[in-house]
Amino acid sequence: MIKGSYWDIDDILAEEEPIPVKTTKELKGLGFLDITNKPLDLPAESRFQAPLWLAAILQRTETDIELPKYFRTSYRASLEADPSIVSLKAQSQYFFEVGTKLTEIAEDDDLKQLLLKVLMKRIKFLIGYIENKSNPNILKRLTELEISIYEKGRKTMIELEDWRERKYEKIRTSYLYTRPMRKMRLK
Amino acid sequence: MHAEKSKKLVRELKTSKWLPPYNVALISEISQDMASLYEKAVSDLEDRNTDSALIKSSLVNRNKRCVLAYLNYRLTKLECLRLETGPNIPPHFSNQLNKDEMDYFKQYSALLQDYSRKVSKSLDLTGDLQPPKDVFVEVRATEDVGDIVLPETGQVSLEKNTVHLLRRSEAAGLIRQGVLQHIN
Repeated sequence: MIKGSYWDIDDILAEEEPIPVKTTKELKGLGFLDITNKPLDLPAESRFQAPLWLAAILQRTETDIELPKYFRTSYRASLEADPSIVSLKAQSQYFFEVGTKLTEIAEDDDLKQLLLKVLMKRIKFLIGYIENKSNPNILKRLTELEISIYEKGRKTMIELEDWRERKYEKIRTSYLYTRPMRKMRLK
Repeated sequence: MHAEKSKKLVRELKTSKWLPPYNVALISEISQDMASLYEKAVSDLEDRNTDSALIKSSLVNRNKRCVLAYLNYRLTKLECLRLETGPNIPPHFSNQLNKDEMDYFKQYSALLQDYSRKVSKSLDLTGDLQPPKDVFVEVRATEDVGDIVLPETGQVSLEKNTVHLLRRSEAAGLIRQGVLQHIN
């Protein structure tokens, strides 16, 4: 699946991350968007959390989009300091995807630069784990994008090792058959 | 009402290693929601409430995208399964699929075989990309299968922990399915 395409389920889930928004005018018949709001109409100046995709559309109804906590100035400072220590996953599973989408919606060039810097530093740190046989515990601290990079990297390393030892012509049991078998044995 | 059901549907795909069971109930709920949202959007347009109509129609589109992506993801996985392990659905997967998906798998499999035959009579398109070093491979049976007949070797009796020398092309499928183990 092409990343960011209509069919990409990661793209869909990234667009579900909540973003704070604030309405500037009364929106008739849209009270249901704000879960804490009871009446039928959405009053002006109401703040609530909307998924990213909805926030992008709400913008057309003159609604302001605010940056989530992890892209605000105070958190940016700690990102600048040392991105490899911060647990981005605790902020958002789709930190980078949400960030890139927000730079387009909110037209924030600084954020773009920051994301690039953070990603470069995190990848440098990740490659260390990929090359040396690492503990899978770090997966708990990675976002979806980083997990996919990590898994692809590990797979390539294993294939390279197999090739060096002339093991590539060995036929292996498909992972589709092995995984559930292992699970059954554990029971 | 932020299309949470669709979000749940798509998230289900992430929770399982292969595919989660086909969620008929949730999909029919979503399609009902979509129908009612569409009606509301139309009546909003009649009232000239364009903001509300915009949001509601985009909710409909969002739900549509999620359900289509869900179905497409499952079909892609099925196609991969066919290429990876051959024309049979592994028994522990069959209750994850609904009837239409089973049909899709069978028809895809038939198409692939037709195509394979057109390209060349002796070539298996799902086989290895690298040329093998040996025609024969040494394999060990990991479970009792009993007597089976292979197209070139003839009859083999696969009992647990017995070692056989089989043609690579014949053994490959069985190894991928975990019946045999490739040794040496």
